Amino acid sequence: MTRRTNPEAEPKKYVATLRTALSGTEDSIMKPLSGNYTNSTVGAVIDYLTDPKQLEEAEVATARSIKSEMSREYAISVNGKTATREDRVGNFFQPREHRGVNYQALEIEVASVQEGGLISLV
Amino acid sequence: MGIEKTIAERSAVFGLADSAPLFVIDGRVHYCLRGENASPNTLLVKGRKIEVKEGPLLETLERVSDGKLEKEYASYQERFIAEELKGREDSSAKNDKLIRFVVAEIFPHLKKDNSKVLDKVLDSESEAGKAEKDERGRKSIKNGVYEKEIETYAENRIKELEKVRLKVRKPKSSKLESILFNQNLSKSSASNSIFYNLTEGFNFGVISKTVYLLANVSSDGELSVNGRRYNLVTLAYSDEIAAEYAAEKIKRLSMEALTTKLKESEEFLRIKKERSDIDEICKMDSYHEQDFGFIKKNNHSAIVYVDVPDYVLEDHQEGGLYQFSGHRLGIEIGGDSDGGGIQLVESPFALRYTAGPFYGGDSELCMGTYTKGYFSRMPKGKAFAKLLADARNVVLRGYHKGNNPRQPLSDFSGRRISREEAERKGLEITNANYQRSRKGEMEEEDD
Repeated sequence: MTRRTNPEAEPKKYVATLRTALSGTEDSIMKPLSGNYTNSTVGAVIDYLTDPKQLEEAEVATARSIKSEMSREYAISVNGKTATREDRVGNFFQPREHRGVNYQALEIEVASVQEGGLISLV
Repeated sequence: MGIEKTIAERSAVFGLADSAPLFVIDGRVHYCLRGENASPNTLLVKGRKIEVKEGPLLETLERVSDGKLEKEYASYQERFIAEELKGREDSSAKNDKLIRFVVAEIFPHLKKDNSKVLDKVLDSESEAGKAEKDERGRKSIKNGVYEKEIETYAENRIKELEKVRLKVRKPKSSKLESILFNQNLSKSSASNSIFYNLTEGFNFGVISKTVYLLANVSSDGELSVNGRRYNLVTLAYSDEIAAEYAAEKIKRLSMEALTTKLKESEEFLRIKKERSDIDEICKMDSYHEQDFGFIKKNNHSAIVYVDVPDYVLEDHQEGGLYQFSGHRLGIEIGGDSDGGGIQLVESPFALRYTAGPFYGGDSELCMGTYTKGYFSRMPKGKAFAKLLADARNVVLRGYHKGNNPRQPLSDFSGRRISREEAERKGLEITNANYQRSRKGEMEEEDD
């Protein structure tokens, strides 16, 4: 049984998640976003989510891992689609539902570019 | 006193036989009274005839024994069930250590389940939400699985117990005796009595701690009952038969416990309550959820894998796009006999033949200069999960300018796809849009 909300009656809720390729709870940072961020860029949301002032104690290590991934050339995936820091997040939000509450989800994954190939030739 | 000894010593049949010679003919007990008598039913002992009286049915006498030992039987069945369940749990716990590690230590880092954080962020732990959660709990994997598992176990155990055949004794009488004395062993009508099974249905007697089978004779004979004459043929000492009687009784009690009492036992209910989904998954040979899973190879090794979706790679030099199929990418891990010391047995590989610029003919993934230094810095389970995630990352994003793939994309001309077709199929170009690091800025922030 789910509780349905009327989208017209309630303001939209936005939730952003940032993680590395590991996806456990302790490997991600999740925060509500204010509506203002819908016009923002992927890079701005990443910066907001990793802002030391915003981090809870349990998120500090995760933020460090994320920054570590971004310390080399890296790729961003937003809700499964490749993206750049400059892309507008408004294009990526996906409507989801959790325990009867509707929300707009933005799942960002950052991963340093792993160099595949033949070791002997490198 | 052990239950076997108790059953043997307190058998009503042997108890009665201790005080007077006893015979079982056609399922009915007969016993001797002291003193001579002119009765037609007699036993000849040292030239004297002793009267033989008709007694209860053998099955009735066995039921009398059972009635007197009810408490002992119940106590035995309780212990039997507890030991069976404990033995089973111990044995599976030993074999499951590797899979338990996979499920408890690796999977949490691959699982996309942020329900708890979402509850907090959305403040959604509403009554409706709780009801939904409860419903999910009721539908949890453990429901019914343990019961089903125990039912199967009990069925198999009963089959095992049924295979334990009674040690049926053959009388020492020879064929020569049957020819010379014209005697044949006499049989009783079929019954569910344990003694009937022990003696293979032959009529028998117990005199002075010895069990005899009764052989029909046409004239004379040591025993005369209801106009039929019998000779006594030695079978065994009564304590041997009593021990076999006790063993058969215990077998029947054990089977009864498995059939009717196991699922009502306190031990079963306790274990059922304690069992978690992890325990249930540990019993499986393979398991998949979301985009990851495991395949158990044996008790000492397992393949843990992640799904790689269908993807498109871009050749950054000539701009062409190439489509590749989704597949499973795994590592093999193994532990020693007690499940400890879990190690990487095989580096990332595709679970079946897969084409791609970084796959060799053996489907092993070439990860370039990739190092596993983090294995010494993070919990092992998380490190295995990271290896899998990084391996998938190599497949999806590892093809870029300057690296040395096993095969360049130009070798896969049959896999070329237009940008329009990729878009139409909803396929991601996974090695696009690389972002330059903002290392200087990051370091500044860290400081």
